Amino acid sequence: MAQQITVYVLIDSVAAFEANRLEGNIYLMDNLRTEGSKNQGTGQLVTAINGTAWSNGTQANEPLLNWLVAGLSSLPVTLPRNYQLDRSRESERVALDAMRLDARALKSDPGAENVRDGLIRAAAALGVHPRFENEHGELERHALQLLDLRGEVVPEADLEADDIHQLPPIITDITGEAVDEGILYPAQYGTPVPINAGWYWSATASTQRPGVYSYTMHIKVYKLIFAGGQPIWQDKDMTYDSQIQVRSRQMVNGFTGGGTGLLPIC
Amino acid sequence: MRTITITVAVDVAGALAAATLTDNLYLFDDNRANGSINQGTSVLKTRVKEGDRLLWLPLPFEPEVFASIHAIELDARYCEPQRRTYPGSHVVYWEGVVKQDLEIAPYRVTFALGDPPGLLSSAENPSLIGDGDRPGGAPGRRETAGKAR
Repeated sequence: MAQQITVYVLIDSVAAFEANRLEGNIYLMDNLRTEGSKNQGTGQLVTAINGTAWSNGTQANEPLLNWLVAGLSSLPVTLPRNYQLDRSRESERVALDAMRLDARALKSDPGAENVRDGLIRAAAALGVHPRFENEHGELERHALQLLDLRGEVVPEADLEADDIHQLPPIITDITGEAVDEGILYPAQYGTPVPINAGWYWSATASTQRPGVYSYTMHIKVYKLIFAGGQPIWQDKDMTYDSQIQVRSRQMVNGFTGGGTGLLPIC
Repeated sequence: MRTITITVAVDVAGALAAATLTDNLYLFDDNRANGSINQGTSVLKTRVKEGDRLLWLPLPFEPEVFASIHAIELDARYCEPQRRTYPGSHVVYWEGVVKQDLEIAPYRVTFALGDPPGLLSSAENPSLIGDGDRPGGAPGRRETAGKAR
């Protein structure tokens, strides 16, 4: 069975955006510390890819490398896949219900001040849809309302708060030496797991040629900015290099440590 | 007042296999620019001031395995983190306000991991630190638990 390797890419989005660089603002970890990966929790992770070969030299397994990206000023990745959308819709449903009731009351008593105040309050509690620049360079309304880091919709009056959930960064490509040399074969996949709305980058690895190889992550980093008082998700494309160390050894029986013949019979 | 997030990453499979959080816990915050140090280690030092609002957020390495921050234990003179749940979900985070300026306040993180969940606590403690412990001023000092100023 293929060995599953997960590389976690944790980014201080706001700091990276402001500094225009990922260096110093990116931290990498994987789940193979005990198998030889080095420099966990730093920007210099070297991921161990321990391959196995049959006695004739051909590759015996296909290690799989997955990259999962998270932002330091963002909601936890374990929240449900459409959490931000669900929260946006829920807040709009609550506000619409309140407004509908107020509107009915106003119809029967147009002068009712408490109803008018209630309507104003309901409107003020509505969330905000920031804009973002689409592929044609036009500002478009983002489908998701702003949330804070507690999962609450941010009303217009609180836009300046410092606890707004920043859109997490995303990987847009994996290139570099390991890809050019035919060691990594990366592609983007979908999964029901909630991270990054279920999209993640993955690669199968060739372990025929042991050695240290670098690869480049292409990462889009977002930050909420304000232009003319309007909130906008602005993005910047950045790259960051990391390394894999490919090893290969002959396949052994995991139970006996010997050859790959029949399993011992008790 | 600022809001500072402290992301608590845990290698769930590693912690369950070794029955310890040692070497399987990595903490990060978004306050490095203001002097937080030891990012990506189990002994993160988050620089705080009175009034800062702290959010401890979980980042389990295996999204398929149950992992939840069970407790954050901190000297109540400085901060009393409260357990909270994201509305409409079962995901737990912890939130607390720094009550007063401090020199250093170590704290302990306990995770509930696996199914059925077992509790594992950090052996090495991350800390909140104040302005008296700025890196470059006197590196390495006050590595042990501090007292109230």
